[in-house]
Amino acid sequence: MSLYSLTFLFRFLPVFLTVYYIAPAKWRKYVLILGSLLFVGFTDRLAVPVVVGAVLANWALGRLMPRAPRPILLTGVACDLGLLLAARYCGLSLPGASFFCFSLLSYLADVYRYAAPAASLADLGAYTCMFPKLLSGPIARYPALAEEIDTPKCTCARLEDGLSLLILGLSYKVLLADPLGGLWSLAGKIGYESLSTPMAWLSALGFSLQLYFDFQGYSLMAIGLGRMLGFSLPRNFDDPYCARSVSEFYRRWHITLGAWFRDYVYIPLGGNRCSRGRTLLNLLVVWVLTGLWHGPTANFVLWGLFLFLCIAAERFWLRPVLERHTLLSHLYVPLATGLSWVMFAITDLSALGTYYARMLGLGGVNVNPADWHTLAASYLPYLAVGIFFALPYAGRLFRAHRNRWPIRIALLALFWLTVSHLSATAGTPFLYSQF
Amino acid sequence: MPFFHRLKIPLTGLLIVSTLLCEAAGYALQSQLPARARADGVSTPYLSGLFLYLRGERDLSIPENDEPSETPAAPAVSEEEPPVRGTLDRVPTIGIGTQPQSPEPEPAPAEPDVPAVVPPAAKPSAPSAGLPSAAVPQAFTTVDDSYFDDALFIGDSRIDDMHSFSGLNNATYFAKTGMSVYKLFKDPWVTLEGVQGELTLEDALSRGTYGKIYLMVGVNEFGTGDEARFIKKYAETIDRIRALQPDAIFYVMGILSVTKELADVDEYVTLDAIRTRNADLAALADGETIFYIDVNERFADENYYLDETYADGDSHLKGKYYRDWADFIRSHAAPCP
Repeated sequence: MSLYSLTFLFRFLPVFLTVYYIAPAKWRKYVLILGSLLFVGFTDRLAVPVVVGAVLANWALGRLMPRAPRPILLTGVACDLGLLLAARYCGLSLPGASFFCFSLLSYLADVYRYAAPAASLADLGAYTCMFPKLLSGPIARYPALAEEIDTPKCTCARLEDGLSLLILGLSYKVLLADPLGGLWSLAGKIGYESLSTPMAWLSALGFSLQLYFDFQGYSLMAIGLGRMLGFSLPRNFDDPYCARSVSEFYRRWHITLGAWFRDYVYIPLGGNRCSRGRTLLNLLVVWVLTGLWHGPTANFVLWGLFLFLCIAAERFWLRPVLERHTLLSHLYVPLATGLSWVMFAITDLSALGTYYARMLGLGGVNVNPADWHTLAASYLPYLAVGIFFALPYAGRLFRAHRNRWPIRIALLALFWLTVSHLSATAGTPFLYSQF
Repeated sequence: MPFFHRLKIPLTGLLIVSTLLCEAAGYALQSQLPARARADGVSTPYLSGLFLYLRGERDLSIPENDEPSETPAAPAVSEEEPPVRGTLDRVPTIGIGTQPQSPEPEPAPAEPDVPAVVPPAAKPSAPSAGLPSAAVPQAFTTVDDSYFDDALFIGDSRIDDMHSFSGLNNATYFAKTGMSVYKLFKDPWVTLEGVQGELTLEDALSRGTYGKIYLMVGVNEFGTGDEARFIKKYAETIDRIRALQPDAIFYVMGILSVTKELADVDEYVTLDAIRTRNADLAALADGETIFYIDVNERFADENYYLDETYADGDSHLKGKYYRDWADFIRSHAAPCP
């Protein structure tokens, strides 16, 4: 079951919310656990024992940690990473494996680092399995959620707030990301070798925007749902396309993943408090691992390496230039990230080479020079709308006026528009649901 | 909205009320929808039916959802002369899902199938016994692109793709995603260069003269109505088009098959259903002015599934293979009289 399906929105969610709000406050944790396990079951029945087993194992390890911290931590890391690899490559049923396992790893690491009391089974179950964030994050940290898990803050204001975020996220996904996805599909259909150069650039732009609205949309839905249930899930995006460097971009894009690698890999390796060479090595490790987290194929490693090169160059040379030249920095970031997203999108390396060649106007076969304004004409308005919503103005407008009636009516209209789209199509999967 | 303003959850309240209203409306409209679009109320809410209805989905087995029985400005030809084919009188009894059988031709006994000429570049085709083929002999010839100067291709999204990718740019295309035999003559949908707005097919056909007309529809109709109704409507459509373009050679195009991935799981778009439909379409050919061509000879595997190599999604081709499609069309032209 996915968060954007009609079954979830009109059957699972209303029933769950009714039971959740009727239940006494002390029972809500258990309602959440049961509901989340049902959610897992509806997604993949075989995953339920895997999830229960993983939570039990990590709970036991957390309890045993004070006796032998390092060996227990290493055992836990091996188990949780093993679980992730088994889910990715051996077909083990575990939806949202990357996010689930990273949540468990962060829990064990936090227990180890702070020597804090380990969670009760119920608290750990609620933390790892809560369905708003189960499939695609945000990767929340246990200490930040512990208090709310015990006593969720359910208020009318949070319900309204959460619902408005849910609708906004749904709209981003269904009304922007999905149509923009058609542009990238069209590029594939034309064949990369036959794309005109403008079409190659526009499709790359389309994919960049699709990825942003797809994942930003999902994250808003998760955060909104969390808020409706009384939890404050962390923000995952902070207007990344306003960044003035790739380093800053990745402090604003998929924030919780970046923070996870920073806190559990980069800083323990020494971070930037070492020699230049060691800092570069630490950055390289982080970015190669980040690439591999997204996928095992060479293109993801290439993506990670490319970003490492950009970030390293900025750290040791480019930053003063970017700080002095605002326009240059605002052009550089979408260009660099846009080129990197093409690596993200195309797994076959020779096809990737073909695509880049077409972006440079090289090596075309059966190219239709008018393709970008004939075949792709219907996507141009979506690109324009996407660019607008990628800038901070829409977000500021929404935050400033979210409790006014015009925004409420607009949200209601957007909601029914997305439901109309979902009714007509089977729905396109979230791009980050494959991770 | 003072009531909602006093509520502490105005957005939630509005959403709940509108959901209940949409659910009730969707429930009431279920019987108007085709079988494949109906909700079960458990995993799919009834309100999805409301939006499908607003988007024009109808159960076409209900006569009032089809075009009116009085055909406006019915061409005199079909009233005065018997149909060129006997098929209007011969309603196939084959239903969806049964084993495909070639309908017995009247009055001549069945003649051995004459396989269409396969272009040398084509991959080895499936055994001819597995391919739906016309019951009458069809001999094809290969033509060059000038043949298509006065050709018209009518159809659904596959014809739209053919327009975009095949390179046969001198032909005329009337194509629209989702087009079905029931919608062809119903509402305005054709865009003509130099003409503002959309025209009905009848209007669009009246404005030009075509020497060859190709028609490909049939896959969007699975799950609506039944096979007999589909073929009857298709035959009527051919008559109507030919009445407006009496000198044109007519090509019935067999519907492109779908991938195994889709055919094995879909309730309506099954391999049997596609084979049956194409067999019924093949039976409409008379080998003189109406011909049947089946691109599956080129793009289907030995089991008649759409070969994954060529597929974009489950029921279309990757862009570049429409050039091969065009080659197939070039090598399956009726010889000039």
